[in-house]
Amino acid sequence: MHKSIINSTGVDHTKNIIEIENVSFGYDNQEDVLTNINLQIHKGDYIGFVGPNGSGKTTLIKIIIGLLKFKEGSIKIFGKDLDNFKEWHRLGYVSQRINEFDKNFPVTVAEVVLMGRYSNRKFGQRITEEDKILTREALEKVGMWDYQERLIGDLSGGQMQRVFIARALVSDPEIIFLDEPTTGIDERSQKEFYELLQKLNKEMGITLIIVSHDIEKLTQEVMHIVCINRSLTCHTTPEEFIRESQSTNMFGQDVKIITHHKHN
Amino acid sequence: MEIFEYDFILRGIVAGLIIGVVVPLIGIFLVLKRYSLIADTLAHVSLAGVALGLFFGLNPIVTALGSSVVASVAIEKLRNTKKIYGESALALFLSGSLALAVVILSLARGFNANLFSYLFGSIVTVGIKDVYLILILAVITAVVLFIFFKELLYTTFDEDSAKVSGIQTEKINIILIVLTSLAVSLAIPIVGVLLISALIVIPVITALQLKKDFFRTILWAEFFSLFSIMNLNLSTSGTIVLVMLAIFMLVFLFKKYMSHTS
Repeated sequence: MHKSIINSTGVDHTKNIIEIENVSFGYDNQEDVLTNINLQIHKGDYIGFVGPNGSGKTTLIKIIIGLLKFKEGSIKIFGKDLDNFKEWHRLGYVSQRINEFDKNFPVTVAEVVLMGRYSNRKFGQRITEEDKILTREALEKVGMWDYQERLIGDLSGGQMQRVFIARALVSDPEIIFLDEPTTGIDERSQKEFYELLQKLNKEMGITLIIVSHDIEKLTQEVMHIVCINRSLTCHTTPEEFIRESQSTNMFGQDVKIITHHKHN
Repeated sequence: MEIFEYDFILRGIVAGLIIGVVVPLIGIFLVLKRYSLIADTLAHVSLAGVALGLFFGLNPIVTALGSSVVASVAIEKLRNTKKIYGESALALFLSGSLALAVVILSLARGFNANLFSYLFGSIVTVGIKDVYLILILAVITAVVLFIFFKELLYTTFDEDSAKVSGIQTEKINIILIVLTSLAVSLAIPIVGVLLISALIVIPVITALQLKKDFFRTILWAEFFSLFSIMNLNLSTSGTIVLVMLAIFMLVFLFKKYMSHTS
């Protein structure tokens, strides 16, 4: 399915960085939430996970990054079994934070981004001047350096989410996982947010995996769509996905897919 | 400064100041984790520990410390099983230990008066050994906090992301809760069981009203804490807590007034 393409950033798109084999997950004594998932993610991919509410798409992300323990199967990240994986700074994670976030938490933008450096530092090791420089660079990349002394709770949703991207970026990750990152963000900020993601993927060669219910937007942005509905029901290009979903009603009655073609 | 001629007052003030420095450092993490009531629970567990100590003729601070450390780990484990809600686990330990203290109390009527001083705290009961013990516990608490500061901050702010970045958040939570039981046990002789959570929580929520960054919020909490403790007179915890509440009200109303006028 994947041709060997090495694009302008020198990223080898044939290299597997995440290998998921026969993974199942369920809570105690309940029916499995996910069954028999097989998925390979290649370096430089930009993948959208789609599926109806409760389909397990967020669950799958949480399993890959080690927040939930799967029952069966195996997951390898950068060729290492998840259980033995230690290089967490190579992963970034942006959660649905802004919706449940404590707006009164007394930290500044710079303090939040600096937290992203902790994974590069050992237990008890102090923050260095280098960490501060990298914090500045990360904030500049997302266009938020001017806000570095502001309290995180005083920012708008879109600005906050940029800061969380900067926090993911500051540890110099190769993959970033984003879980419904644009929920509660106004349309204009969403557009800027997706432009930023394109920059991370195309210019910096970072692999992106994004969960979103906004299928229309995703199909315009990502390289591959992965459909999840308790199992993996498709892994295809956005164009193919749109064709398929118009002829078969993949997600039942509730989900309509309206397509606008890219303007560029 | 006539009062300094009395050794016990000096001891009380020294112990009070040590506690005043250490307690907001723990309090800020507890308040931000919505875990303020853990202090109250561990205080009641400590009371049962004190009762046990008095009953068996052991140093009550040591038995209070032991029982609250054990209970704190048990509470955290119980909470992690997700079989029981976090605050239900607290209620369980709070009522259980209070019941235990009351039963021991009725078994041995002889030390009721002594136990009373642990309920409300008193600088008069602070001996020189207690001052040393408080100092050692305080140093341990401060050093551990310093070592794990960045992990504690990240875990408190965003537990999931902290975990993904490789921080062992379960261990960090255990460290925080054990430090809390240390702080509670060391503060009990001065402020007593009933008002310990006020000491841990009020300076921090006062400082939070000022909307500063993390470091400055801690400094302000320290200031409010020490200022209140300085009012420690021959009367005890009641005064300290009332002063804290008064400062909180002032700051709260001032910020409210400022946000209306600006």
